[in-house]
Amino acid sequence: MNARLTSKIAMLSAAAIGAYVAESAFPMPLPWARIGISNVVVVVGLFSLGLREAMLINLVRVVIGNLIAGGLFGVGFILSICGSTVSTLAMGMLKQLVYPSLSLIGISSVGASVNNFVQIMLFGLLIGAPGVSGTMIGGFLLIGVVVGSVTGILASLVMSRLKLESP
Amino acid sequence: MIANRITLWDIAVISSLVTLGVYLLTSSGGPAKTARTVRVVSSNGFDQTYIPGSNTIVEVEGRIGKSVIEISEEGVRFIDSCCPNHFCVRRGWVSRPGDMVACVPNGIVVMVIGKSEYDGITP
Repeated sequence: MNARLTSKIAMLSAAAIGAYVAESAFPMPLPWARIGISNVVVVVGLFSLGLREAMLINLVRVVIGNLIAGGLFGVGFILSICGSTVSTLAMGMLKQLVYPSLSLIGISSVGASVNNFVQIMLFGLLIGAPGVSGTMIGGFLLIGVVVGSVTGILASLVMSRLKLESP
Repeated sequence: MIANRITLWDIAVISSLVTLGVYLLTSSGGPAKTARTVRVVSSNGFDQTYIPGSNTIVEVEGRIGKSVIEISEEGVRFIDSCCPNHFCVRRGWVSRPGDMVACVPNGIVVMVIGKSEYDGITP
């Protein structure tokens, strides 16, 4: 890992942590629900650097973000780290397989849906099965698609503004 | 600027995710699996509550004759009634809390009791 790459990862991680902590200040219906602006940074990391780097940025953002905002190793932290890790892996796989036929926007919306799906299922496991219904999964999936598309659009704007090339 | 970056695959993937989401969101309106009971009331004083589960066939005497009511896992329905128009029989199964079927000529009402899924129409 050369110095240039390390500093890029560090800068993106810092941006992701900043967004993560900032958005935790907004009131949300669930204490650990987020708007997901910091996901833009993870998507940018995935498409400008690579899967390993994106995984690293994601891990750093969740751990340090929760350390700063409070809630390290709480329920929200577990949901967040599992959901975003699986989601980043899924996006990395899609990037390998179908990018650019499926653009950043489509991949990001799948990623957000996967993230929400993993989180809601895990939430069901943690609090006990009867809490999660098809209706809930459907709702979270829809939120995921919308949020993911917006994330994708923002990420692709960021990439073109910063003239970042996809490797 | 963004429009030319969206591919056909994007549209396909996003719309199928939306479809799946909407389907899941709306499909759980099937027969309710919540705790519920069925109450059968007749104008001649008959008033019984049943737990839907095993198939039960009840013959109830009403104002003008006999009505046959079936209670099962699916809910409750009129199988037969002595009324002229058989509106009650044609109504078929009802299963959700708050649903009811009445045989007006015979003075018999069956209703599903439980936590209603809707506001405002709980009997």
